[in-house]
Amino acid sequence: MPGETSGAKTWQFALNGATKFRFSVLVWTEVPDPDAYSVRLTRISAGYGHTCGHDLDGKLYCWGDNRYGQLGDGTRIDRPTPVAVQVPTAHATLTVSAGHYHACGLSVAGPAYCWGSNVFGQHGDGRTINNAVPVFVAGTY
Amino acid sequence: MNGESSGGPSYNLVVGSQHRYVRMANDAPVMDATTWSANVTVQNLTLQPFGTLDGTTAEAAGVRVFFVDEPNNGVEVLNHDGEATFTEAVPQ
Repeated sequence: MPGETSGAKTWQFALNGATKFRFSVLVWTEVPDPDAYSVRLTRISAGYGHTCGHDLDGKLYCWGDNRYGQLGDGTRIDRPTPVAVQVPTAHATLTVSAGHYHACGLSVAGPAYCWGSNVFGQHGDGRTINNAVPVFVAGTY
Repeated sequence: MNGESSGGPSYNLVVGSQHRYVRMANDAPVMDATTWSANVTVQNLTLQPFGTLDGTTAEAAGVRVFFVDEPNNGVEVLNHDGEATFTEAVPQ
């Protein structure tokens, strides 16, 4: 990961009478194919420690802090790259807004959904339980 | 080389520029009459994840250090992991 330092490996050289030596090296690394994991977003919204956005097809992604499930991927694992929010497939997202520790999306078809921290009932689902995946805002649309 | 990839899409990247893209460092070396040894680390100074196929999961041998020039005054590297050849100049 960026900034990360690898585990240490011991290097040994036989001196064979020499008192100094020099060498040059290159670092080789595997990196993700950007086309395989990157996304092309048309709209984003930044929360406190997380960010969410959606692409042209209305598919939602979030990344960053996930302690309250605010990435909507069904886990509470922080993600340094975008992960798909588990929105029901029938609901393409029209717009998304990230709050302090939660986020909400509005679907093209009308229903709105929220995920993440829900301690104040900010998901509008009639409860105050955090949700790691989107839940629909109560009411009719 | 050991540590074959577990599969999945990936690029291979050869990185240079000490203190710009990577920082190689070693702790205090131990030297006796015949041998020099030290613990060596590699730090990723870029914004690109290193050693991972998916941006999150670390590959066991996803970062390797190759000698471009070994010592040429009789000093020998004692603990190579192996040898490999770069066969393509483009991502593979």
